[in-house]
Amino acid sequence: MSEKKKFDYRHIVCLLVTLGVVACGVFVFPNAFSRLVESVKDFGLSVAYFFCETFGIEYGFTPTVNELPTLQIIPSLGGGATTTLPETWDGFKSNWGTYWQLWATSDNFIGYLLYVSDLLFTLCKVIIIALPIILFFYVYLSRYLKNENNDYDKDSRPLKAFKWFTAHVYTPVKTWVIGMYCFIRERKGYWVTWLCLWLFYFNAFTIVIEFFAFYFYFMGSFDISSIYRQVYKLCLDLWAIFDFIPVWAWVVVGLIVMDHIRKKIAYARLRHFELRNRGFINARPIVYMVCGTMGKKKTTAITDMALSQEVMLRDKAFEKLLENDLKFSCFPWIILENELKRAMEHHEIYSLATVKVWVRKKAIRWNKAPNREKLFDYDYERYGLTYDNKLKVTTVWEVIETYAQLYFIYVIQSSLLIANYSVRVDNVLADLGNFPMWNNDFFKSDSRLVDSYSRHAHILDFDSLRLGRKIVEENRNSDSFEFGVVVITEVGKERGNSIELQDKKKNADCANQKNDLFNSWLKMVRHSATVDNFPFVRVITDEQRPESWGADARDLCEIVHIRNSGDMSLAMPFFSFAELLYDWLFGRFTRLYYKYRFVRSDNTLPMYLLKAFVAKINHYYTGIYNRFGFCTLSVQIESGTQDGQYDENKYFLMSKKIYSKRFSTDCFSDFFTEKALRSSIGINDLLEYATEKATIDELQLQNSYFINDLLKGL
Amino acid sequence: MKTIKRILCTLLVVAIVFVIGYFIYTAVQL
Repeated sequence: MSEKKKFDYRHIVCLLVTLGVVACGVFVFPNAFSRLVESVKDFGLSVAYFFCETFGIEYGFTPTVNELPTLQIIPSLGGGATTTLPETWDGFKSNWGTYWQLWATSDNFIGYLLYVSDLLFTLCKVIIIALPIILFFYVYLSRYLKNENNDYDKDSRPLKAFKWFTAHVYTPVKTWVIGMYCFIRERKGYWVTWLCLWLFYFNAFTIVIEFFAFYFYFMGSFDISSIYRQVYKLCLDLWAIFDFIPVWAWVVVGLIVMDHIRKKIAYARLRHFELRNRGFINARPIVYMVCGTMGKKKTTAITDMALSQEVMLRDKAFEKLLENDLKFSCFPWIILENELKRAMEHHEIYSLATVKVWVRKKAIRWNKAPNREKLFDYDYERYGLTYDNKLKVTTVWEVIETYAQLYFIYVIQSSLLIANYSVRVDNVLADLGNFPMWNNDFFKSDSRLVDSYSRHAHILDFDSLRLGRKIVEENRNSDSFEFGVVVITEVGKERGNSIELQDKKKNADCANQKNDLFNSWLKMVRHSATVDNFPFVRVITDEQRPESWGADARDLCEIVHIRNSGDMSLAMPFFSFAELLYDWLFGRFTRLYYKYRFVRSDNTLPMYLLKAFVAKINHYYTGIYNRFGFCTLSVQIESGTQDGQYDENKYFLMSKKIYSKRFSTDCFSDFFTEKALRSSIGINDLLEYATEKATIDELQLQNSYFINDLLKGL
Repeated sequence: MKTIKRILCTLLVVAIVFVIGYFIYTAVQL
């Protein structure tokens, strides 16, 4: 049975709105059409003038682009532009001098002060009206604070009435408005029609056509003196929008534009900080260690560095792909890329080594019987098989091998991070089936959607970093590491130093820090990861003290000491007034709210409204700081040999990048949770000292080496 | 310190708006 499609009444609403917009055009902007016709005429004559002048053709017409509009822009509103701006350039020059004379007169300044005071007076009137309401609200709330109760989560009668009102009036209206908005957004025909009509009324099309009309006229005449006339005409056309929209609406528009600009500035600053961070990371060697006492944000810093490093490795692969692409500019790289993708899907290619083997097999096959199909359809007879960079001659198969390895590094979608704690990465690979592109932006991701495309760092199997003895001898991961960013937090606890490893023997049966050849791996790590002379590897570690990691490994590193972690700052300008207001409001609300919580447990209307209002402001404020907040770390860089020479530097931690579910600051907390669960007692069950002075029995309960030694002497 | 900085920034914005306003006011008076 076919179901009859129900007619949506919202179409009627949209049609009525359309009729209203058309009526507005007829009654308020009756001359918009004639201006459009004029502009088309100006354009036609200017084009004809341009061609006649260019090709020396005789003509008997005059271009009309410099003539003023014959009708007023908005007849009903008068068209004040004509009185403000002079019609001619000479008139403008004369007014320019008069303007500065007037600007410098005290009468004009006093007049301005009076105008400002008038505005302030209007503002005061608003405050005077608002003040009794606020006062009433305060008295009303204070009344509640006088009465104590324990009515847990019970709504007062006014609150019940308010909730009923919102459920039966506000919510349906809001739902309808949102539904209407979605309805219009989905139907492009309506909103595009309205947009075009308003653009037409505000002479937008006329302005564009007039611009091209003058462009052609100017190319034919080079009449510089006519430019002012065009500015004047532009002002007349724009006057339609300036005159029609009221001042308060312009204030709103101004605030929206200012908000947009300040956010744009904030994003630019955050990206600038990110580039500075990348410069800092690039200046470090392949292995480096970040040190700092507890709470100095060292794990946060290495996570941030690892995230930037991952992006930089991909960027480097991308850059080198282009370099190799240009060596054989007519090579059909897409055919090679598609074959690589297929081989990766079939797990024929899963590492740089397998890429090399795959390419070399193809090269051998081609060498046996050369033809285009075996060389990815490359027309080698026409374009050649070698490339000379004036240092050496490279064959096409060598470049293919390099390109394939770089493409493998670039295109793998899992994270390039291999860490001993979890790190979330959210770079997105956009692929239309051609060359894929990475979106590496850290600052514009939608926090509600990140889980849908997030990946996490690979689990670091330390056996894969050991060239000697391994903890699991038949470990399938042991030879897997080739390239990527290795991140090791608390490296000293894993590797130890010479004092801690005194009792470990190199010839022990099981793996230990002395016989696993981890340090040898560290010294040779770039060999497995070098493609096209660039090492696609970094080892980033952290520890509280540099000495906690043995000198043999530490000497390879640079040590980044975090000396100071600065306060949270905001990259977005023009937020100081909002911050002042927020601090003032939030401080007062917190005091009032906890006084209320102390006295009462029920829900009342004034507190419900106040809390909702403050929560909204708090969410906005927190959202701004989370998006545009950053903190500056003061760091000192020292050689791993600890020669005592420090280079001062700065590193920026941007909230949106590093605190957006990136990692857990208590990454080993599950161990301590498990340990605590084994205990049957908690802090409340521990014995307390009876007085200010501990007794001998109480001291014995400490199980302290020191106390035990003292007690032995008794 | 932070509050003083915020007050100064707010005053700076107000001053900028005041000065721009004077230029516009003079143009309208002309």
